[in-house]
Amino acid sequence: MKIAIMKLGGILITALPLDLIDEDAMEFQGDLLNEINAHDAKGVIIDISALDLVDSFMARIINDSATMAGLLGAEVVVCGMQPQIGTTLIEMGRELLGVETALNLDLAMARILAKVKAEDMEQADDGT
Amino acid sequence: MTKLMTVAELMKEKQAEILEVWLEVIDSETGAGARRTDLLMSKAELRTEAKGLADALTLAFAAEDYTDLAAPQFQPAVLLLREISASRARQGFNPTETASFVMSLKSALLQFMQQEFKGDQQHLNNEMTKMNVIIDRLAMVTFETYAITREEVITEQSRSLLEMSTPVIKLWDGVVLMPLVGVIDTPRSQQIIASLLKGIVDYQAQVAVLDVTGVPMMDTKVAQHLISAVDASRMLGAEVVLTGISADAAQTLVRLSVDLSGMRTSGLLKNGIKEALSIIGMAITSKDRAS
Repeated sequence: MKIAIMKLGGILITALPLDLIDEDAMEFQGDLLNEINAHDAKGVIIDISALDLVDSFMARIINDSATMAGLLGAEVVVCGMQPQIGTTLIEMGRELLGVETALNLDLAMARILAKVKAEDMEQADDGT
Repeated sequence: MTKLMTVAELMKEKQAEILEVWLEVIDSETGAGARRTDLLMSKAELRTEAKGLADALTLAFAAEDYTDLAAPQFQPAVLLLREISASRARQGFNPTETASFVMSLKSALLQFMQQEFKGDQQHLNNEMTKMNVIIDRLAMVTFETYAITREEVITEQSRSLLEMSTPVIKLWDGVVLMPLVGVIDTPRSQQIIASLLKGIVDYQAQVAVLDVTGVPMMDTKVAQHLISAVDASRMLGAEVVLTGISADAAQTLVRLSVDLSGMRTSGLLKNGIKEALSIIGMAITSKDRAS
C-alpha cells in the first residue's frame, strides 16, 4: 500500500496509516527521501496519530528516516503520538525517538516554519 | 435399646430449638462483640443467616465422608459461609466476630448432644468428633474467605487512592499541571506517566508542570521515574517543567549524582508556572504595568 506524501509550500506532509506493515514502512522511507530530493523540501512532517502501536522496528524506521532526511537537508518533525505509545517506548527503554516531536499538525507546522525561517536567515546572513 | 440418632438427624429434628440456643450463645459468648454485632447488623438479619446456615449444615452433617469438603453435601454450607464471611469482612466485622459466628454453633449443639446421647458415651464421642471436624473445617473456610475479602478491600482502596492522587489540571490553554502527592513507587510511576501523557494529549498541552512538593522522599529511583515521565512527554512533543524540589531533595539528588540538568526545574511552583507560560509566549503581569 502506498502512503501519500503531500507537498505544501516547501514542506512535505505525510500520515502513517493504522495498518502499516514493515514492508510498507521500508517503501515509505525510500519514497519520502525521493520526494525530498525531487521537491527540494526543507521540512517534513510525519503524523503518527493513527498508530496505536510502535514497535522497535517502527521506531527505528522513523528515527532513520529523520536522520536520512537530515542528510538531504530537510528538518523532520513527528506529530500526534498517542499517549500509550509514549508509555510503551519508555517501558521498552527506548529513550526518546531521536526526532523532534510536536503534539499536533498545527504545532508541527509552526515548529518547521520557525526552523526553515531561521535557516533562511542564516543563509541570508552568510550571503551578505 | 433403640438406635440413637445421628447428629444430622438431631439437627433436623430440633433445628428450631438449636437455632434459639445458638443465637443466645452468639449473644452471650462474644460479649462486647455482640453489642458491636447489634450495631453492624439487625437481629433479624442475624437470624436469617443462622437459619440458612443451619439448613445447609443439616445437609452437611449427613455426609458420609465428613473429612471431604469437596463433597456435594458440603457445597451449600461452604457457599453460604463464603457469602456470609465476605459480607462481614466488607461490613467491618473483626476476625473474632466473624469466626465465632460458626464456632458458637459448637457449644449450642453440644448441649443438645449431651442431653440426647447421655446414655451412650461411645456414640456421643463419635458424633462429637464428626461435628467438631466439620465445624472446624467450615470455620477455616470462613476465615480464609474473610482474609481474601479483606485483601480485596485493601487492593481496591489503594487503587482508588492511586487514581485520586494523580489528577491532571488544565492551568491555561496549552498548559497542564500535575501535582504529585505521596510516595512514588514503580506501579504508581507507571500510572503517573500514563495519566500525564493522557492529560497532555487530551488538553493538547505544549507544557506540563510536574509539581513534586508533596513527594516526601526523593532518591535515585524516584528521580529515574521522573526522568522517564519527562522523556515520555517530550516524545509526544510537550515540554515538562519540574517544580517543588525542596532544599533537602536538591541536596539528596546531587549527592546521589542524579543528573537532572537536561530538565527544566525550579524550586517554587510559582516559578515553574512562570516558565511554563513563557514557553507558550504568555506572561503574568500586574494591571498597573499593563496600562
